[in-house]
Amino acid sequence: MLWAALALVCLLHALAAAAPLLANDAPLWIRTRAGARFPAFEALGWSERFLLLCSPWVLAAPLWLATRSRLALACPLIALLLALCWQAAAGPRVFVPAGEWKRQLGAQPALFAPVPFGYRETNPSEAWRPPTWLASAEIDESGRYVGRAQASGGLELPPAPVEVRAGEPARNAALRHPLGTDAQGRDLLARVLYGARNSLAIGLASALLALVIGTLLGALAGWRGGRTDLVISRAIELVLCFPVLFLVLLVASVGWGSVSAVWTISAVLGLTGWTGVARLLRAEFLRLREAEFVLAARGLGFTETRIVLCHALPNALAPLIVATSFFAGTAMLVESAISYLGAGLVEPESSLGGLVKGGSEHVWMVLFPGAVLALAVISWNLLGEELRDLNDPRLSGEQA
Amino acid sequence: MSPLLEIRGLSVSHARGARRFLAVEELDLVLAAGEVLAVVGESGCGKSTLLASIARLFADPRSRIESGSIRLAGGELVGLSEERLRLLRGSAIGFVFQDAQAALNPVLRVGAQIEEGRRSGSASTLELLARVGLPEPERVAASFPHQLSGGMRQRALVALALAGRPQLLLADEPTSALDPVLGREILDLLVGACRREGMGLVLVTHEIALALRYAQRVAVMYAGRIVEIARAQELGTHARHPYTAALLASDPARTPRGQRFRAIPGAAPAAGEPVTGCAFAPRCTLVREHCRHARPPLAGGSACFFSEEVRP
Amino acid sequence: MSLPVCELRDAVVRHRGAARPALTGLSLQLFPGEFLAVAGESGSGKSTLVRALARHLPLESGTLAVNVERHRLQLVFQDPYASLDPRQRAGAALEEVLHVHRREGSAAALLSEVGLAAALADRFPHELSGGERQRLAIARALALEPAGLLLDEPVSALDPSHRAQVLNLLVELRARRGLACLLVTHDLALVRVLADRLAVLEEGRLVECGPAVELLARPTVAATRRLVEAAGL
Repeated sequence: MLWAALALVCLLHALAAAAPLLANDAPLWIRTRAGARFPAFEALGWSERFLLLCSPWVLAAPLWLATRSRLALACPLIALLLALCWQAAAGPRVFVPAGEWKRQLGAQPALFAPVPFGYRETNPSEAWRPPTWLASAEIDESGRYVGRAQASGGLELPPAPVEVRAGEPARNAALRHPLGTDAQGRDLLARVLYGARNSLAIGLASALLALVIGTLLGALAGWRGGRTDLVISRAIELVLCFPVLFLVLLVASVGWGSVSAVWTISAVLGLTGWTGVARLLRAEFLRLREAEFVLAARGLGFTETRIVLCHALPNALAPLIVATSFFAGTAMLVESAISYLGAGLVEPESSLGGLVKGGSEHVWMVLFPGAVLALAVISWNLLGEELRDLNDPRLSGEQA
Repeated sequence: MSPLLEIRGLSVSHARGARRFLAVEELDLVLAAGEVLAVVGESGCGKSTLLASIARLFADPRSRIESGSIRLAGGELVGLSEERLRLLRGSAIGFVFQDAQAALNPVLRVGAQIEEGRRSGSASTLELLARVGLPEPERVAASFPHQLSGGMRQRALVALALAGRPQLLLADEPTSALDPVLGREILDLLVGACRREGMGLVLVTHEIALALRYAQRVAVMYAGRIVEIARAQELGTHARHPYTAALLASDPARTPRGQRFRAIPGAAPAAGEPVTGCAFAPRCTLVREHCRHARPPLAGGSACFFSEEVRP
Repeated sequence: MSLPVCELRDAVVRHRGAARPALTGLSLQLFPGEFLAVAGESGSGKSTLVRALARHLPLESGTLAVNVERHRLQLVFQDPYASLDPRQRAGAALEEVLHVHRREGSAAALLSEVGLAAALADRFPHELSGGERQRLAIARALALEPAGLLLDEPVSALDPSHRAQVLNLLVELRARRGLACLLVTHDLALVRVLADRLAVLEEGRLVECGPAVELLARPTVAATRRLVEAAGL
């Protein structure tokens, strides 16, 4: 069960990291007279290239974790190096308006992504289209829905023929828009993919931030005790009193210069959420401080630093990882709530919560982003629970 | 007179991960009312499992009795429903655990816990506490377990076990955590109470010296089976199994000053390890080729093909 | 008479928040190369004494003189499982000590000195038997080339067969390295076999101290007599 949970978490993150490869309005490869070009990658920054290169490594995480391969830990560094070299070799970023490549495409051979739509590529002629594999999504040449009763009365725009662009499946192909479209005709599957990327990133980033801050402060409080503990515990209580939601709303609306809202929201969630981790670690270190093996280590003349880093911390790691796993899931939910309220990521960027907000009367707009969000949160929670179960019996001492 | 406790062919298995292994294999044991039987063995030999299986008080819910019968005063316990068995625990079967601190509820006063264990016909709580040698029964009854010293806690635990007036008392290493002086006092108490009330006592311990001092009969267990069972005096002077002889030899009280202690070389087989022939063969000083192929049955009180050759 | 390895004079030790001191007016010396047994019932202060000697507990009053370098007086705890880092393999634990103190020597040599197979270096504490764990704890103490070992009931938690191995090891080490051993125990049968001198504690006080053979044959104090009886001697 542990491996299933881990595989699920890794799968979701790998898919999110590989989003530019999976859903893109620009072709992955085209053959021009000048040679081959890779338009989809021209708009990527070094961080996106890095994520792309990391995605197979993330996907294979259960494998290399199971084999405890030390080599695998070096992979992200290699990926980073490769990404920077790639960025340098590829020249400056080329920003092309959404859908432009499709318009410019002539008869050249081109290979599109599996989902040949961009997340900001609008198509007004195809607004609010249900998933194309449903019979009710069928549209005829004039743009009218086949088999759907016309609304009686009220203003209604005259139907316009659906614009099918280069590289896209046919108008009524079952897999054209597997999850339907939104108010501006943007493909929901592409938006869910990129939205999941934002949500997962926020979950992970805020969890890591909370982990670092919480570990430092909690360990300090638990290990030193006395006045340090007093001060830090009061700090924890102070931070707990902050209304997180309002803080995030404030920061998200004010923004932080050119930094993407994803990072500002992650920062706020991390800076307010570290308290749980800190308390946990404080309790662990209070216990470990009195543990006999710590006493033994002191008697052997080890420095305090060595005892804390090499002996106490590894033994406190287990509940820490569990707490972080749960935190990531919760952070995603908090962020979704904020985006749903409209104060999170700004259009055309979106997170899963924002996508849910997008359609109140259209089932598929709520169902699919919601299902993916639920899946992501469940997978984090499952991983946390499995990790918690894993560590208990082993450390309680087997009878020899 | 029919025996109080009769165990025949008992096999108990534990789960480890996906696999199961036998902790107790085809064990036969008989205990008469008023008798003290000691079960001696080292960790992993199955003695605690044996005790736990009598009242089905397994720590791991996946452990189960694979086969055999356990009869208490004629009534079969294996296969009895949990409800019926629960009624027997405390009233017909009493337990004394090793760790009094863990066995007593830390948030209830001692008196209240003993009160819970009493039934009609039992002496009063204060009387029970006085009988176990506690000098101020009222104060002890009003205390919480952590307020008492280790010795007082263990005495209170004995009082709790006796509160239900059981017919059978099971004691799992009741004195291992105590110093010898206190340990002797507790065992004197237990054995005295058994003689007085006519209860049967099964005493599990890893100290053979204790077993010989307090029990009438001693059973020695190794790798889930009884390898020797005899009257205490006989076992102490004339052991008929190499393992028993080795245990006796390693007793510090039998080691002359300045000499090395006699250790038993090797290690007991790990739980679940398949064994062909005699389980003790790898460590036995009398081992022959035959021992590695055939498992010696328990005959005449000893499970060894060469029991006559065993020397102290 | 040579300088004692360590010496307590009129030591008073009180645990935090306790009404009664755990040790009162205790004076004790451990001489080089000797085997000193400290016996007493539960609560007599034996563990407190050993921890005070190892400087794990502060003295309320009195003096502690340790006449060897700080880390040459090592404490071996009662519960080997608790005193070893559960996440550290046996070999790594030994190598860490050697590394921190920049000693020559190898984990393998230490393991073989205490009679453990070299293959056990890769095992975690929970994968070792009680006897093996205790021997590993002793190996760890040996890495610092101690002049004295303080052992707090090192075998009371072990099975009889493991007990013998650990005790025999102590005797060997003493002979080979000239170690002074202070063994805290409540089992006088061990004392009879191993000890040169015996000190008996009762309720935090030293009530008897002298040659072991003599005290066991002719105990003068009630506390000693009780222990002798309980050991069946």
